[in-house]
Amino acid sequence: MTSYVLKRLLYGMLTLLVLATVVFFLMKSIPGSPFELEDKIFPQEYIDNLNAKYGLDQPIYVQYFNYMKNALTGNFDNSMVMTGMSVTYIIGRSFPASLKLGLCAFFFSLIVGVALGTAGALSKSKKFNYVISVITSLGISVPNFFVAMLLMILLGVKIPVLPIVGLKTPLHYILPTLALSFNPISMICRLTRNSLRDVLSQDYIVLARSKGTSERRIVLKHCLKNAFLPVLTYSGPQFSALITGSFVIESLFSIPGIGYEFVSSVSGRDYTLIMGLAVFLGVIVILINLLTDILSAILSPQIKLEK
Amino acid sequence: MESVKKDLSQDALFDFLPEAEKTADIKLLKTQTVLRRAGKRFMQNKLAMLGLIFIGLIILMAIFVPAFSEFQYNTQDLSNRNALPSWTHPFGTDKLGRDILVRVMVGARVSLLIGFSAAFFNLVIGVIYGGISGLKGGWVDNVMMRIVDIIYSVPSYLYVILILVTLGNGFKSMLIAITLTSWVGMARQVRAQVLALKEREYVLASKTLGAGQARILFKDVVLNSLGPIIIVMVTSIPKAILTESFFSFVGIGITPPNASWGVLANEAREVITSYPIHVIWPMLALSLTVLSFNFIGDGLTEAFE
Repeated sequence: MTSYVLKRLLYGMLTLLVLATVVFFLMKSIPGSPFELEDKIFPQEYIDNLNAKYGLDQPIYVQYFNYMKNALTGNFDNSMVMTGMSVTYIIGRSFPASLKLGLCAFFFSLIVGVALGTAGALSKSKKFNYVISVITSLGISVPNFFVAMLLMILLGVKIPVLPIVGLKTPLHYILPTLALSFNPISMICRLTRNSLRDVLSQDYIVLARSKGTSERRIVLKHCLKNAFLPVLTYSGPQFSALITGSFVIESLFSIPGIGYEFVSSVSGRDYTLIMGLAVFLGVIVILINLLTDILSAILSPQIKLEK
Repeated sequence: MESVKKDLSQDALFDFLPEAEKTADIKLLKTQTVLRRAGKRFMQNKLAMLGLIFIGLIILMAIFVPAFSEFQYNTQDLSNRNALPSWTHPFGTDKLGRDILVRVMVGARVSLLIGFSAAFFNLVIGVIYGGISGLKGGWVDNVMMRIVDIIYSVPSYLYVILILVTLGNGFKSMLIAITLTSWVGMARQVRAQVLALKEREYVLASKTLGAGQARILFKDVVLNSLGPIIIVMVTSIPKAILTESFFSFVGIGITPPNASWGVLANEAREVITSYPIHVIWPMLALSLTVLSFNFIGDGLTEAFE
């Protein structure tokens, strides 16, 4: 067990190192200096000063080591577009919004998904299961920004009951949460239903029934616990994806989150911000997925730890 | 020989079968190939067939509607802006008076081309990479699979954004970005197939006959694992189409005047409160296409099980 965890940690570190390096060299491979814009011609002295300020006048390997050192300590350079703001400050400013919305969407999807999936697996009604299949097929296929726009049109414009801009009050969370959750709800519902059905046909459930265990106890104690593993392996990456901010939903609802910041850093060619955000988001996603792996290894004695 | 036969028949212990009966059973035993059986099962899957018909229809419309329509996808008619659906403009016109049907079908060309090309490049890269990794084995396999793991564990949108920043917006960089992040699934599948089939007798036989690595990979492994490979390929099409639409929708993927479904939805965003129908058409086309591909993928998975 310990060696498995250590091994996974090592690979996680390696992945982060590779990611940071790839980000650095990709950004450096873009031709031209970020300060030489087509429509603005600055005097050479001015450009030299800017290059010196951002350390761009030094040889590439020095820049690389500085960058890695900064990335390790969590200190990123200043933004190139928003003068005077450090990347760390921008992350601190924008991450909470994404985190809050992501947590709402994640727990909402988990609760609704597991509940619907359980209901589907236990119900003998064909009609009910058919409805669930139709809804989940749609949820997996329809892109979330279409769901978001439909919700905006219906509940924000035609029947204006809910706000559609920003994240000021709890009411503001409803539409983006719904839009973000439709897809994960469908996936979690399908996974729960399928694995619960598998478990329900196992011998030990038949035994528990014949011993006279109550149906509620069977489902809650014996089934859900065993059926939860596939849901967990899906939920981990989904959790990290949701809390790191959906750039599409954030841009639609004008939420000042980290995904929104990322897209505007790309359109604004703000290289230091792009690098900082990519490394930050990469770290979060890799760490959470690592934790999920380790957690599911602990929960499941069947998973072979050697590989 | 002749005399033995005679002796036996004279003994009347054995009766010789008439020639026709000798081969009668053999015909019944003739097995169906895996592909044909899967094909038959696939055809019986109603949802999958529905998906296939829809994809066929949208491909035909994407080819012929823009070619035969009297409107170009960028013909503006400022006197006829934001028109409601009519006989001349079945989907209406947009804020610049352009025919939405033609634009949605031009969008279908871009989106489908992204999907199909990404699937094709995934196949090529995945088969070669996964094949080499599986056949070589040892440390080569180890290093190659660790690289795959690393690519796999970083969220793909990060790579896509970085590649789009480096190469600039547009169709080509979008395709490169999607391909570079999505071939790993195919590589893993092909490697798994190679490992499963490598020790089979018929592969050993062709090795003994002196077949090269490439021949073993393509003739023995790929041809015998068409099922899983086709499934991975088909499921990668809707993924690519969705990825493209996400990035084009926020304005950093394919950019106007090119018109993919994501671009159309992005343009219609400005008028979403006054003309919501503009956003519905391209999004409906996108959703139905993805749904159809998912049905086909599910049908194939069931058929090959």
